[in-house]
Amino acid sequence: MSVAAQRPPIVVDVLTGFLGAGKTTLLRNLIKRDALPDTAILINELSALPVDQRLIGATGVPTAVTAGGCLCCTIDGDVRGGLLRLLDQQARGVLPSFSRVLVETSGIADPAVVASTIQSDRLLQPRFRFGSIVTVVDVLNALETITSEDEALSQIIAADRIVLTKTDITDNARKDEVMAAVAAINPLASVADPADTDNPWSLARPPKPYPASLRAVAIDHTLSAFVLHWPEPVDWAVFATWLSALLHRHGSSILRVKGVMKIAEAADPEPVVIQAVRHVVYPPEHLAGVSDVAGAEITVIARDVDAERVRRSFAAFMRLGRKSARQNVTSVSNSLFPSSAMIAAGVPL
Amino acid sequence: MCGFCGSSLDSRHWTTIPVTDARATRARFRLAEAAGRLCAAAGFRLAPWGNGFQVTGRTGRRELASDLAQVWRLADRLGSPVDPLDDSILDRLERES
Repeated sequence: MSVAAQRPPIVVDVLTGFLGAGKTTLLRNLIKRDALPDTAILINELSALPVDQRLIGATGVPTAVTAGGCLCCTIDGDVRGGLLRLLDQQARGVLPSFSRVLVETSGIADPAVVASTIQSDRLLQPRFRFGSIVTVVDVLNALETITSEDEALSQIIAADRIVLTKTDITDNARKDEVMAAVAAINPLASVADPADTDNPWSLARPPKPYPASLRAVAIDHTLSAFVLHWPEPVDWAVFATWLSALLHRHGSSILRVKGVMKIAEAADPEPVVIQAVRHVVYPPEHLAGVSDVAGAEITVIARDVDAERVRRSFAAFMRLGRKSARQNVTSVSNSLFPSSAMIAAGVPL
Repeated sequence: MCGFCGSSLDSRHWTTIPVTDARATRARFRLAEAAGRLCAAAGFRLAPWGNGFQVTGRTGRRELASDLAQVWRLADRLGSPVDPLDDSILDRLERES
């Protein structure tokens, strides 16, 4: 039996945030409070001197460092090597057993690359599962870095949860201004003040993975957030075609996609959650315990994309799916048997 | 890699993760059928093949793809890039539906 078959996948969470935002301080505080049990920490450093690891390493928590590079490629060799080293050290008993890994990225890293690395690497894929992204936002400097640094904006857009730092040395008006800005940029993320929570990972995910009634929010002339609605169950093959082609062609402009949908061909009443950060699509998952979703509701955060054109495209594809569903109603109900068309096409069965 | 048809046997592209009750073969066939309509609108053909797909370009040149990501990359290489936001493609799909 393989290792992958014996153990559930290790969950990999990402802690990110712009240079100087306070990632390492937050991490040290979490470790001091024993808020990260059963967790190994992997630090991706930009500089050749692994300063953060020295700071964290002094606490005695299992750490590895991937010095020498920012996460800027589709597959990050340093993170890959770091994760495999942790696994190897655990197997040899050098490290205590752990069920989670927390990757602290360098300040100018794109956190989506960690997800991409795990999902596209055949060695990592069966052993690790991507968890969530927590982005640290420094309220003192956030408004400036958001507007001047693309990486800072990408880190906020990719976040599942946002933790505000340096709130103790700024006034409430500034904090409210930053909270409003990040909520407008990424309406999908929950926002927390570290004073309000012991552990950002203990924050519940938003009760629904989609905002029930998100209004389109114009952040500036190029960035926008909008919701795609479809009232009926979705034809999965048509949706998969649409999203994969859309992200292939416009992945640099479609910055974030997150939504929930009832699948037409599934007897399971639980809807499926779909998530993408730019071109990286997370494996779709059934949403346990939810059965009141009749169609699809998908939030899109995009730059330089005409929302109306995306809506038109989504609707055109969904209508095709509706037509296919009507045509295939008989054959789908007999899905245990190959159709004559499949046999004619020479599909190996 | 399958020695017979040349397709990848362990592709884990997100579009292949089962979310429906259909068997894998039928799910792949449905994917080929749905994607094939978009490919036809862009000027090339797509058919299920082995564990993946066969792409036939405008000149008749055929290539294999293990998943839809590869299909879209092949389309670029064959000179028939696919854009689901393109007006002419949307006009055609809207007429079909």
